[in-house]
Amino acid sequence: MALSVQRCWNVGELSSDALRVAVAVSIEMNRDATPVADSIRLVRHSGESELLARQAFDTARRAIIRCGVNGFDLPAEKYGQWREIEMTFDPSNMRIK
Amino acid sequence: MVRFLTLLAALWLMALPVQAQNGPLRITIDEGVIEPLPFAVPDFVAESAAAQQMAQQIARVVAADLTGTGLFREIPQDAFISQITSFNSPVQFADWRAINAQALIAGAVSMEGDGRVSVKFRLYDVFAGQEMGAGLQFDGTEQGWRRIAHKVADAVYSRITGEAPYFDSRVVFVAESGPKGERQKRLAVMDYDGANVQYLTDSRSIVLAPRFSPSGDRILYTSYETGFPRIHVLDVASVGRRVLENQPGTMSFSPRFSPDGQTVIYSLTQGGNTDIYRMPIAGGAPQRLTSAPSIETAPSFSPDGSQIVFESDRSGNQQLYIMPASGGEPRRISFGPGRYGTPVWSPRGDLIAFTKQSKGRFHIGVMRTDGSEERLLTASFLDEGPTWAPNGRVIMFTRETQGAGGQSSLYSVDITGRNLKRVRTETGASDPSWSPLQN
Repeated sequence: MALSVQRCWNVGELSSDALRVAVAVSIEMNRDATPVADSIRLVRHSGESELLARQAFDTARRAIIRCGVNGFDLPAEKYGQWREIEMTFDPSNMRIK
Repeated sequence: MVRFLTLLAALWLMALPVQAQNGPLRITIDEGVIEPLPFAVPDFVAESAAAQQMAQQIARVVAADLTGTGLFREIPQDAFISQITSFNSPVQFADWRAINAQALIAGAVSMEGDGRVSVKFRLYDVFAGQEMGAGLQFDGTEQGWRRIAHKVADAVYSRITGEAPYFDSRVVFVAESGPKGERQKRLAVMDYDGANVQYLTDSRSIVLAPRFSPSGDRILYTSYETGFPRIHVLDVASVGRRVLENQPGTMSFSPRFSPDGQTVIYSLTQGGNTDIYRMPIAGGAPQRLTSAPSIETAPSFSPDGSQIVFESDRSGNQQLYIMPASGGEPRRISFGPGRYGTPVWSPRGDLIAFTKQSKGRFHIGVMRTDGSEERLLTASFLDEGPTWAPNGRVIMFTRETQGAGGQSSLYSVDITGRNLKRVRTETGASDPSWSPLQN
């Protein structure tokens, strides 16, 4: 699931300031391993402003929905373990060096 | 003690599965991709027959602005499954998801009989199936439709990226025509994307290094009208101009406004020595800021007006220095191999753009204000004279090609070093200076 979301997490459009913001996002999952789109919430962030956190969150949410549209590769028998997910998006490796 | 620590570690490890079962599954994503965001801009809805052509043109300018940043990729209209035929109709998000449009811009244009134009738009996050922020409306004149389009694109760009806007801005530059040895130079101003060129001076005398005032209403430049370089100030609206500095027996050049628009810093050559001076734009006694036998030139204020970065050859070759705005002991900030010149402080205050000459090549680069983290963004036969976009994200500069037929053109590059591209101008062009965002 992490690898799948990585491929969809496009930080190219984020400002250099927004690229300093890590966001933790909560997700509720359906039994078919697709995310419940309306359930995706910003739990906390490391940003100095809500605006930057919002942009970082929008990018994270797009990644989850886009790559989860056909369901993530998750074991159905362990649904109880992944019914609720908290995903932290940390862009510190993606900044301009 | 060792036994106690071992016990603690064992207890901590045992606690992990319990935590995982009781709380949500926790995953960290620390790698992603950097690629342009796919977006769709259907033709804006014309809410009157007269607005039909403008509705299409505005959508095209919005698309060009966004695509031109290198951060967005337009999905061609022939791939669309849905069309936007009414501004208030529900959006069929599934149709836009199917073509991988991640952002959708829907707009409408109405024209009144008196030439007034209204443009409204909404920005959608297609995969979230919701609007990104509230819809906006911009009003203007029929002649000013491109500015309205730039404002729409600015709003979209800022909402998605978090960057400040910059499309609704202008650039003053030196328009060049004729062969290299007899090149004619005129001051010209254009939209940031090369449209709406207006010539401000004729080609009877050489003009150099125009610089916008912080409010965009005036331009400082150097003219050889009298045979010697002299600083002039030009009013953009009336195109009226006057000589700013005129000490007999001197040459003055390389002017730049202070952030409050009240003061000009410049270089003055007297008795073979060049130093940096400041004077009120309204006139008055110049104040000498440097006093060295070397050449001090190309001064640029920090955005808060407290410091000045400039170039000097006091060390034996051109390097960059910073001093207090009132003068004083400068500190050197560039130490790499080669020569550094034309420093310009970023509007954000965190970076300084410069020209670097090293090993026979010219570069546009940026460094922190303490000289650290130098990054070269370009390399060519001759790149020089950077100017910052109002949001500090993009740099425009002059690139000259080699040889007797060499031509000057304007280029822009993102501060990441990506998206290097030529700015289209109808003549040769050099010495760009970016205006602030228009009001």
